[in-house]
Amino acid sequence: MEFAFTKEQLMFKKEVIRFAREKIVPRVAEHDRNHTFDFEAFHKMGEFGLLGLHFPEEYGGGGADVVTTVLAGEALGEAGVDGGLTLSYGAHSFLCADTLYCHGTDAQKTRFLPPLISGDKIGCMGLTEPNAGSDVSAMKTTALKKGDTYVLNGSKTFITNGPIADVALIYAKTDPEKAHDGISAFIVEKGTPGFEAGPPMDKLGCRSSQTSELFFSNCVIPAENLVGMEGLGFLMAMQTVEWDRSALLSPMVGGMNHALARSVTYAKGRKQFGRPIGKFYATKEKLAAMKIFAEAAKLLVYRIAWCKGQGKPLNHLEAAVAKLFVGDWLLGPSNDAVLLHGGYGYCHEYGMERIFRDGRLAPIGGGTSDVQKMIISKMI
Amino acid sequence: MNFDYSQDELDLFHSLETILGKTTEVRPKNLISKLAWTGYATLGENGLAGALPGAQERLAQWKPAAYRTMEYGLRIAATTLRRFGPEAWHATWVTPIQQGKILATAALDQAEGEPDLTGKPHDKGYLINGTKTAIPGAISADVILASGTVEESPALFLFQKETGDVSLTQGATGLYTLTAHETFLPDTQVAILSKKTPLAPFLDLLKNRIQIAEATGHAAALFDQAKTAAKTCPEGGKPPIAKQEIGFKLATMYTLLQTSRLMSANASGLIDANASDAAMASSCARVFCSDAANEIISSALEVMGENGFKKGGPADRLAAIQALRVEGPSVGQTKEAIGNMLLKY
Ligand SMILES: Cc1cc2nc3c(=O)[nH]c(=O)nc-3n(C[C@H](O)[C@H](O)[C@H](O)COP(=O)(O)OP(=O)(O)OC[C@H]3O[C@@H](n4cnc5c(N)ncnc54)[C@H](O)[C@@H]3O)c2cc1C
Repeated sequence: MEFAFTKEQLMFKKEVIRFAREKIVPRVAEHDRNHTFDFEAFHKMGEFGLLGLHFPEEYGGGGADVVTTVLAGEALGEAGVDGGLTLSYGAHSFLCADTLYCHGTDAQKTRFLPPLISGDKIGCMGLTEPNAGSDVSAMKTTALKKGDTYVLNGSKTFITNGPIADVALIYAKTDPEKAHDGISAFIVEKGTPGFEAGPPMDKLGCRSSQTSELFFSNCVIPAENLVGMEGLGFLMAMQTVEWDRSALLSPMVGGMNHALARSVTYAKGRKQFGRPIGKFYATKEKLAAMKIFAEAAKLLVYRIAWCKGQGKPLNHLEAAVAKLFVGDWLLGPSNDAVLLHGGYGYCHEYGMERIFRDGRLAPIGGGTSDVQKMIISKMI
Repeated sequence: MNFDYSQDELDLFHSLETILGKTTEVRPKNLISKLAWTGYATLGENGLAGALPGAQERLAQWKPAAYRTMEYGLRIAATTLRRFGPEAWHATWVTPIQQGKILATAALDQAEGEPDLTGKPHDKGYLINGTKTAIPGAISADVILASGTVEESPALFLFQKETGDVSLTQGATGLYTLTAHETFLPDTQVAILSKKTPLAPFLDLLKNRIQIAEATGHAAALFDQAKTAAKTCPEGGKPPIAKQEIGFKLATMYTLLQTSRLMSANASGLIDANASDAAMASSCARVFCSDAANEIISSALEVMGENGFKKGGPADRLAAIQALRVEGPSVGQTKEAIGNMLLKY
């Protein structure tokens, strides 16, 4: 076992941090406050090559390995990019574009991947429904074949990038009688008659990402918009799990390192009782908790990334461990980051409350902590 | 980056499990000689350094007390003697320790309020005074390697069983305190190092690694016991793990265990690589793994109920886990040390 990054990976990480600090971070607070998506930053991420880092060059991607790709997410968090933008990036690049890349036809890839990779188009992925969250198999949205079309009816909810997406990867039942095996995946483009996105939801955190419901009312799409084969949708969604447990979690690891660095600076400068608060044991204990979380989470997240990069079969058990750990153990140290800053920690200006709020998604999105515990307890 | 064990490392684990599964031997010296052929005693020198935390975990899972003494001899005494001792000590001490012919332990910790070991030149040797504490297996050891100073330079002292004027007392946690009073050691048993030698931080890391793996070994043992109990079906009924209350507890225990293993392996690798972040990684692992073991034992007892308190059950490890948390540097002190490293205090 050996956990070090290569020199090139570390250099790339530094570059991403520099890019993000210069081009994205200065506007993060404003977008978070206004609940607005930072289109400009997103395009710049495309230009920099982040949106398609791991895709082959033929589609405009960077051809990077999985670990480097995951490291880029960590770098964004470490630079101080908010959880909203990194969530939007994750949903776009991994949940939507990567599924198209892995399962789409050549025609679908040639048509959709280049604009998604450049950031000219935004993608989203719709799996969750009002009555089918943890229990995906209960989904009610249908896609029934009619000649050389599919007709979609139903709705999705909590869809990241929903209100702004040009390309939606939608999971729907082609066989409503079946559970998981009845689910298939489709591309639905913005502007398709019968397809509408609801208004952005007002959320606790990740506010710069736009989340909404999606509605399908006799929405007719060409049959060639089926991604992969009928009935394989659930398996395809499951194949994004490794990205979900690595690339979507790594910004949180980076975010904790960002909070830690800020907390160290604050602890050295803020004086109470005639001494920097960093001299008090209670402050050191909080810093230690942040550091320990970041160290532990990093190992778990990169293990998943490394295994994926090695082409190993998906290890649901260890993926669930990584997700559960980040989801459940993040609360304490992100709360510590707020507390360490005292009243300023509670104020928007210092950014600590944002990190705390953004982190509250970790035990919910992409499968709740309870679901991870269900998986682990079944598999051990 | 590589998160896999090599085939050689897996083979070593298999050999250890096979031997430990069968043997009734608990005397550290005999165990070391029994395990010598597997490569356990020379891990780090035989190209299998990556297997060290996994091997340590297995030993600690099996018999924590024997593990401690063996590891203090092999991983602290032998390693330190090889790295800092004169050439002559290698053949005299290191090889026999690794073969299980001599049982060694190490005395690293200064007792609170007591003077550390110091040596002053005398005749063809040194007179040693002072106290060391938290020494495992001191009473059965043939030789105790102790750290101290001679005229402000870091020094290593070798106390043999027959060395006079040394007293050993056992503390409440089972570890020993050594007190030397005008104890004469010939100069062949004293090594004086250059003032710049980072002996203390080096020894701290070696000790830390043993503590981390011990916590992980406890965690592994407790998880296994609880899992077995939770999967055992009562006649005609469902196994307890089918209940969410129990299943979710085991899921959390497993998550803590797996994370502990990664942190232990990471810290160990950085220690071996002499990396600048080894102290930080091992301090983080020390806190995490000790806290994890503590959480896991209370969950294991909840999962197993009264059975957890039977002989050989999780409750047997309760005191050892608590002792591990408080022994120096304690979990609280280590958190403070992490804070200091971050703040550069
Ligand atoms: C900001 C945000 C972004 C999101 N982005 C997307 C997206 O892009 N695409 C998408 O498809 N989805 C997305 N989601 C949805 C997300 O994946 C779901 O919210 C999540 O899977 C939980 O589903 P639910 O909200 O329906 O909760 P429910 O499944 O109703 O769960 C409610 C509570 O019950 C618990 N629970 C449920 N079943 C069990 C059980 N068997 N045992 C024990 N406890 C149980 C849960 O753990 C939870 O605490 C997003 C959600 C949020 C908040």
